[in-house]
Amino acid sequence: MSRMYERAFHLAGHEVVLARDGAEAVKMLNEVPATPKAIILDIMVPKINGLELLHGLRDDPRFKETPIAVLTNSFYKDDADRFLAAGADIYLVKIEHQIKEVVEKIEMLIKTRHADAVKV
Amino acid sequence: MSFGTVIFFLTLLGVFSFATQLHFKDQYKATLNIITSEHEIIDDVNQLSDTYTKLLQNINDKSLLDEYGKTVSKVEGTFAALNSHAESGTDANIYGRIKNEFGLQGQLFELGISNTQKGDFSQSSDILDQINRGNAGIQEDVANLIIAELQSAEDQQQQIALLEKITEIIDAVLFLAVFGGSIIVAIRFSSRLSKPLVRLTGLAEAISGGDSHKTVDLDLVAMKNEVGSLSQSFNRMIVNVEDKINTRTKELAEERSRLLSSINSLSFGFLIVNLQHEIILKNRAILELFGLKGSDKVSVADISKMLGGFDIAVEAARCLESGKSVCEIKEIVFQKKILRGLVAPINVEGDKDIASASGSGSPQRIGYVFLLEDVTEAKAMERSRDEFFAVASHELRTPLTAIRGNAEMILDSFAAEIKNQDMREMLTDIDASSIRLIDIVNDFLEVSRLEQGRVEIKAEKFNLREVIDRVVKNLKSTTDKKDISLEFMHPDFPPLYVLADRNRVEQVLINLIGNSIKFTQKGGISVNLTKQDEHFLRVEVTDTGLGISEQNQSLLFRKFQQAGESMISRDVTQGTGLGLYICQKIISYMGGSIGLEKSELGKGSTFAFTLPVAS
Repeated sequence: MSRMYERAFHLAGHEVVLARDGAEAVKMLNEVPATPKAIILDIMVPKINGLELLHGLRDDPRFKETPIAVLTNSFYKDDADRFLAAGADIYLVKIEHQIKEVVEKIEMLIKTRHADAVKV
Repeated sequence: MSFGTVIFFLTLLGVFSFATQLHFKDQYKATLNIITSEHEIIDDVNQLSDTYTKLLQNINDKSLLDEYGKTVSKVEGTFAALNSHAESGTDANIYGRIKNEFGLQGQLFELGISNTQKGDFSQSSDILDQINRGNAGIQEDVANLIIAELQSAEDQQQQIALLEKITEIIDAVLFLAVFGGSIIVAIRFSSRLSKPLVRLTGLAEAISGGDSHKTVDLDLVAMKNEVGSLSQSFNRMIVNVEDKINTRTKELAEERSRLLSSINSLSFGFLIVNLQHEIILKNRAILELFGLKGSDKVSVADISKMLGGFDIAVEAARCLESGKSVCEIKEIVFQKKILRGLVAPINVEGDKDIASASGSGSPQRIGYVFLLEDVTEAKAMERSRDEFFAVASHELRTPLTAIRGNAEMILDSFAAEIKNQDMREMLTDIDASSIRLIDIVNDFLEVSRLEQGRVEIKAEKFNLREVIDRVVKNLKSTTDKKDISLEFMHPDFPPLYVLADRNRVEQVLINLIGNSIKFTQKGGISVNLTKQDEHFLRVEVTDTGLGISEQNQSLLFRKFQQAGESMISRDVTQGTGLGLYICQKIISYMGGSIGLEKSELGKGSTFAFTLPVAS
C-alpha cells in the first residue's frame, strides 16, 4: 500500500523516497543529502516501533523542524494522542481519507511550516 | 375450729338470744296485762263499795242494782282470766283467797240488800263495815300482787335490755364476721380461680416460647368450673397448633430442601448473608470456588480476604444504601479467574399487619444475596470475539484502503487514458463499493468500541445551534441534488449550551439527517431545536419520507436493523443497519435519550434526541 501513496505523491509532483522498515528509514535519513520537506510514517512499521522512530527523529536536530505526518490505519484512537504528543504534526487514518485528501493535507502542512519558517 | 363453725355458732347464739328476748318481751307484756287487770279489780272493788253505799240509800234504784251485778260479773271475769294465767302456787293461793273473800262479800251484799228491803237496818252498818273491810282486804291483796308483778316486770325489763344488748353485739359481730368473711371468701375464691389461670398463662408463654409439647395438667382439666373448660379448650388448641406447626414445618422443610438443592445445583457461587454480614447459607459452587469443605466456618471477611482484598461487606452496604434491587460488581480477579459479583438485598414484603405494627409500610430488609459467577470463559470468549472483530476490521481496512485509493487515483489521474466507457463504469463501481465496504467496516469497529466502552466521549460545553447549523449547511448540497428541502428552524430562545461531545453530536445529526435524506424523495427535512425542560435540549428531525411500519418501529434501534420494506428492496449501497444503534449508544453515553417520535407509512417520520443543558 505504501507504493500507492508513493505513487500518489509522485503524481502530485513530489520526490518520494520509500523505506520498507524503521531501520531502513533511519539509514536513508542519514544518507539523504538534503533535509526532506516532510517525513511520513506509519505506526506499525517493522523492526523499529513507529513511536520510537518518531522520538528519534525529533531528538535529531536535523529533523527537529521537519513536518512529520503519521499515516496509518490503526484502529486505536489513543494512538493519535500518543503520536501527536511525541511530536507528530498531523495524524491521518488512511481509511478515513481519500487519497487526494491525504496528499492535500500533507502539502498544506509543508506550506504552513514553510510560511512559519519564513516568518521566523 | 373453722371460721365457718364460728359463724354458725354466732348465728345460732344470735337467733337464740333474739328468741329469748321475744319470750321475755311476751312475758313482760303479760305481766303488764296482769297488772292492768289487777288495777281494774281494785277500781271495780271500790266501785262495788260505792254502789253498795248508794243502794243502801236508794234501795229501790234498780239501775244501781244492775250496775252492782255487772261490776261483780266483770270482777269475776277478770279473776277467771287472772287465775288461768296464774303461774306460781303463791299467786294461785292469793287468787283463791281473794276469790273466797269476794264470794263472802257477795253473800254479805245479798244479806245487806235483803235486810234493807225488809226495812231491817239493825245489821246494815255492820254489814257495810264488813263489806268495806273485805273490800279493803281484797284491795290490799291485789296491791301486793301488783307490787310483786311490778317487781317481776322490772326484772323482765332488765333481762330484755340485757338480751337486746347481747343481740346487738352478736349482730355487730356477725355483720363484721360476714363482711370480713365474705372478703376472705372472695379472696380465697379468686385465688382458687387465679392460681390455675397463672398456670395457664405460664403454659401459654412456654408454648409461645417454642415449647409446643406441653399440655395443661390433668388437675386443671378435671376442675368442674370455668378453669376446667378453659383448660380443655387450651389442650384442644395446643393439639391444633401442634398439628399446624407440624404441617408447616414439613412444608417448610420441603421448601427448604427444594431451595437448597436448587441453590446447590447453581453453577455460580451463592451466599445468603444477614445484615451483620454473617453467612447464613453458602452453596456448593462457593465451596468449590474457594476450595472449602461444607463444615468450614467462613465469614464474609474471610471470603473478601480470599478475593484479594475485595470487600464484599463494603460493596453490599453500598448496594443496600443505593436502594437498587440488584447491584452488579464488575470483574473481580481471583486465581486467574474473572468473577462477576451480584448483590441483591433481601426484603421481606410480608404481612401488612406486621409492617404496620413495626411502624413502617416499607418492606423489612433482612440481609442480602451475594452471587459470584465465574465469567473467565465468557470473558475470554468475549475478548477473543472483540479481538477478532477488531483485528478482522483492521485487516479489512488496509486492503480496502488500497482498493479505494487506487480506484480513485485511476479515475482522478488517469481519466484521460480510460477510453472505454464500460471500463470507466467498472472502475467507478469498484470505487463506490469500496467506499460502502469501508463504511460497513467502520460501523462494525464503532459498534465494537462502543460496546466495549472503549470510546472517549468528551464533555464539552458548546452551542448546539451552531453545530446543527454547520451539519445542515454541509448536507445541503446532497438535498439540493435530490431536489428536496432541508431547513433548520432557529429556536425562539437565546442560544443555550449543552454538555456533550461536539463531534459525536455531529455524527448523530449526520446520521439522522442522512437517514431522512435517504428515505425522502419528495418534500423535505426540517430540524427543530426546543427546550424539553430546564435540564434538556431537544432536537427533532422530521422528514416527509417513506415512513416506518409499526412492526419495524420497535426494531429500529437494534443492531443490524433497518427500517423499510426489506433489505433487498432497497438500494444495497446504503446503510449498514448499525447507524441508529450507534446513535443510541452515543446519546446515552452523553446522558441524553433518542427515539422515534412518530412515523406514518408514506407520510414521513420524526426522530428526536435530547442532550443535557450545560449548567
